[in-house]
Amino acid sequence: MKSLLFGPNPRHTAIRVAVLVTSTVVVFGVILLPVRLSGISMEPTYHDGGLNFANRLAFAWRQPARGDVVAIRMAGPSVVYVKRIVGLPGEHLEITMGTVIIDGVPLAEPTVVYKAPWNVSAVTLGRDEYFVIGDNRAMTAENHDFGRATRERIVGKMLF
Amino acid sequence: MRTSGSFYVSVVVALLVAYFSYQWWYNPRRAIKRQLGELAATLSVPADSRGDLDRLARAARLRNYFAPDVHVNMGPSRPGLTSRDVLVGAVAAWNPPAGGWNVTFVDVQISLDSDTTARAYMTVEINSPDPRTGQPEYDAREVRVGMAEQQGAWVITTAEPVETLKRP
Repeated sequence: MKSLLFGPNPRHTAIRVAVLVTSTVVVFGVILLPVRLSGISMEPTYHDGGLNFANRLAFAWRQPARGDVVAIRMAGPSVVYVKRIVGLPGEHLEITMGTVIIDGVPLAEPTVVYKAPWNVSAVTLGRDEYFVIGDNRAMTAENHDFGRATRERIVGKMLF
Repeated sequence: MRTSGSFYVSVVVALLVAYFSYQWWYNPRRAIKRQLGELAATLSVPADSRGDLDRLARAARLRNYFAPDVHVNMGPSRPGLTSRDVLVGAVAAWNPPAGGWNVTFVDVQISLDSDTTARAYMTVEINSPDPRTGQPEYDAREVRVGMAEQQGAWVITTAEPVETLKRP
C-alpha cells in the first residue's frame, strides 16, 4: 500500500511533488496571469469566454511595442483590460473616420476587419503613456473602452 | 527554573494570541475591508428581489455605510450626489435588473491617513444575467473612496470613479 501511494522510492516522489508544486506556484503566481476573456471588444482576435495568459515577464527586458496585445490592470491584477497597443509614448495620435493616424501617417492595422467611422480628437501621449484599443472597431466608440494607459498599468503581454 | 520557563512561554503565547486577535478584530484595515464587503453584499440584488419592500429595506441598510455629508462624484458628465439622503433616495428610486446582480469589490487597497480616516482603492465588479438572453454580463470599474470612523463604524465620506483608460 505504501509503495502504491509513494512509489518505490518515497524520497524521490517527495522531491518530484515539491518541484511540481514550486514550478506551478512560480509559473502561475509570478510569470503567467490567467485571463478569462469577457466581452467582444477584441473580436475577431479573441472571443468572449476564451482563456488566455498574460506573460508578466514579456516587458522585463524590452518596452511594450506597437501591435502588442497587452493586459492592463484596474485596481489590481484580478481584473484586466485586454487591448492592442496602437500608440507609443510621445506620439501624436488621432482617429479620423475609423483610421488611426500616428504623427500624421495612417496606421496599417491588419488585425482590424471592419472600421466603423470613429472620430477621436488628437492627443499627444505622455512619456509613459500608451494608446490602446480593441480590434473590434465595428462596434460604436461609445461602447468600446479605449484610450491612454500608463506604463505601470500594463501587466504583461498576452501569451496566445 | 522549569516554572520560570513555563511562565515565559505562557507570556509569549499570550502576547501572540493578543497580537493575532488585534490583527483579526481591531485592525482598522480589516475592519474597513469587512465593512466594504458588507456594503457589496447590500448593493447586490438577488434575482427574485424586485418588490418595493426589498428595495426600501436595501436603501435603508445603505445608510449604515455612508456619512451624512457623503460626496459621490459620478464622473465628468453627470452631477454628483452631495448627501446620504440624496444617495439613499436615488438607490430607493432605482429599479434593479430583472435577473438581479452581484456586486463584489476586488483588489481592495487601504491606506490609513490617521486613526479615524482612510482611503480605499478597488475594482468594483458587477455580474448580472442579460434580461433577454439570460447570458451572464460583466462590468468592472475602478473606484476610490474616502472613509472615516464615526461612532465606532467606518463610513464612506467620498467616492469617485477612476478612469483606467483615459480618452482624449
